[in-house]
Order: sequence, then structure tokens, then C-alpha cells
Amino acid sequence: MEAYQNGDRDAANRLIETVSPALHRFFAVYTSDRRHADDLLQDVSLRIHKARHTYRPGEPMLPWLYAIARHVRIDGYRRREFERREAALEGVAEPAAPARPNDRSAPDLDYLLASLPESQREVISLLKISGLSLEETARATRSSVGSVKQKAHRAYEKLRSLLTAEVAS
Amino acid sequence: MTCLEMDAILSGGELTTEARQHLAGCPRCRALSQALSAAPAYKVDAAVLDRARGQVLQGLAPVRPLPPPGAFASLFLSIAGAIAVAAAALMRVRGLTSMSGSQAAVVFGLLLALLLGTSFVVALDMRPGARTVRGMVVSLVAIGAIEAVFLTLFSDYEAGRFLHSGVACFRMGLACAAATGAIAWLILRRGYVVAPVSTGASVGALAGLAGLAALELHCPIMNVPHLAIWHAGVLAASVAVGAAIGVWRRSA
Repeated sequence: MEAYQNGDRDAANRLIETVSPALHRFFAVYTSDRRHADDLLQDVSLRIHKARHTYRPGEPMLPWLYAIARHVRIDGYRRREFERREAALEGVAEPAAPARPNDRSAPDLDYLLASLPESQREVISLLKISGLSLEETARATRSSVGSVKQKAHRAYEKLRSLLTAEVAS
Repeated sequence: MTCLEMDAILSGGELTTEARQHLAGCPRCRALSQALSAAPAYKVDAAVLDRARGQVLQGLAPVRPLPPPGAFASLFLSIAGAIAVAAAALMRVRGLTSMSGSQAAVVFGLLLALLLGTSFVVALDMRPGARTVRGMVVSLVAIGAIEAVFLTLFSDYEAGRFLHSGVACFRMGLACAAATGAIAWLILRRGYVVAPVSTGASVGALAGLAGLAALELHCPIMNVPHLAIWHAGVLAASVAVGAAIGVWRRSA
């Protein structure tokens, strides 16, 4: 990251290649439309580039990166909601919600996460998919570690109930 | 080990022998652990990566990292202090001389502490992912502390010329707050704000505290209704305006 700040092309290249799949996955948790996740990835790349001077060498990079990605995701969500309302007025069909996978032997993570409220889904996707620690998740979401723990606990409880109900059915 | 303790392990804790035993004996936690670790490998289209790379490499130039938050906090504090002192000096410093020594020490000590804290919060808000405090929390603490000091430290509940003198003070306080807020917002643009509403409230609190400090230095009226409504009102109004600008920036 420091080399990227110094204008090193190889470092910029490496950074894009390393973080893009993780960021795309982070966006894909919230949308069934892969093209929308592609658009958000473009947007976040540009914003990371514009905000690269705000990264402080020596500080953990993931909270910085995911705080920007979260900002882009929220902006994208607002923009999409606006477009959705416009489309609804014009009678255009909305993209479908994540479908239950046919293979019922393995639980699908995206399907499970879609059942969680927005704030819990965010915390679980950062902890379990993006691999952030509790402290890093708290920084990225501008909340306290206690609040992250509480949201994670509630999400786990809900997922446990969901999985138990699936097994029972 | 309980399912609740297992939650901490699932959130990134070490999978101890105890945790393994719990997983073996608890079907609910086992199913959850398996579901959460079932994330498949993820790939991004090469064309999408190329576009992202192109955007970044196109405008690649060396940048200097932002100075540490302490430097910006000192800058915000200096600006707020300078505006408050300059405004009070222009309008004559009569408030400070109307207070007793202990009243002045508590009021200005608290204002300094709140200005310092708010300056740090605004400086931290310039960096994404920094450990910061929400603007609304900062604002509520500042308003609560100021109101508590006014209500406990002063005992004259005479209303006097409540509206006439109150509006004059309110306008002067807001003018100082507007100047501080405008300069702080310009400095803030050097960073990258990810929560404009929260940051707007923090900047509003900083600006409001500058306006309040100017009033405490200048205004000789020590009536509780005047202080609690009009002086503290400058802080509350600044926070509201700051948050409203944040909402506007977010939707712009």
C-alpha cells in the first residue's frame, strides 16, 4: 500500500489483483445481479485510488479498505433503490432475489445470509467471508466491538434456527 | 462450553479442544460452523479486473499520506479557539469578567475539553476505518454536559429580556459557528468522509462549541434560562445544521 502511495505501478497492480475478488464477493453478498457487483467494484477501485492518501502507513489496511467499500455499497444501494422505484413506475421487472440452490445437501452461504437483516448480514460477511477480525469489523462499520459481537451472536442464533428447521424439514 | 461461547470462536477465535468437543456434541453449532466455512472459491471476470486496473493505473501519481489526526485536531482546535476569541474581542469580553473564578474555570475548562474531543473526532473522521465516535454521540454528550453545567453552576432564574437579548446572542453564536464550520468543512475535504451525516454532526458540534465559547467570553447575562436556551441553543442548532448538510451531501 505504501508503494502504491508512492506511485509504484506494480504495487497498484498487485493491490487490485489481491483485493478485487474479496471486494467483489463482499458486494455479491448483497446483490443477485453480478453486473451490479461489477459496477460497484469499478466504483470502489476508483474511490480507493482517490482516497489512497488517507491510508496511514502502519495502520491495518482491511478496515480502511472495507470502510470505503461499505460506503460505496450503501451509495450503490441508494442509487439502485432510486432506479428500482423509477423502473417500477415504468413497469420494468426487478431482478429476482437469490434462489434456493437445487443442491440441498450443502447449505448455500449466500442463501443463508440473505435471510439475515442488513446489519447482521454485513457483520457476518465481513467476519466470515472477508476474514476481518472483530476489531477490524468494528472499525470498518464505525461501531464498537461489543456491538459487532452482539450482531454476530444474533445472526448466529438466527442461522442456527434456520439450519435446524431445514434439517427437520 | 456453551453455544454462546462458541459464537466467539465462530467470530474469529481459536478452535480449542473444548470447542472441537462442543462441535462434536452440538448438532446446531456443527451445522452452523459447516455452513459458514462452506464459502466456495471466488473469481472476478478478467475484463472487470482490467477495467478496474485501467482506472487506477491511468491516474497513478505519488501522493503524500495525510498528516496524523493529532495535527488536524490541533488545527481544528486552533481555528475554533481563534474565531471564538476574535469574535468576543470584537464585541468586548464582558462574560468572563461577570463570572466567578470557579464558574469561569468550570465553564471554560469544559468548553476546552469538549472542543479538544470534538476536534479529534472530526480529525479521525477524515480517514476511513479509523477508530472513531459517532457524531450524534459526541453532540449529545456536548449538549448534555453544557446544559448540566449551566443548570448546576448558575442560580439566577430571572428571565429578564429573554427574547430580545436571547436572539442577539443566538445570532452572534451562529455567526461564529458558521465561520468555524465553513473552515472546518474545507479542511475536511482533504480527507475521505465515509459517514457524511455523522461527520456533519461532529463538525456542527465543533462549530457550535466555538460559537458557545465566543458567547461565554462576551455575554454578561448569567441567567439560567438565557444560558440554557440561547447559548446552548447555538450548539444544538449547529449540530442540526451540520447533520442536515451531511444528509444533503450524502444524497447529492
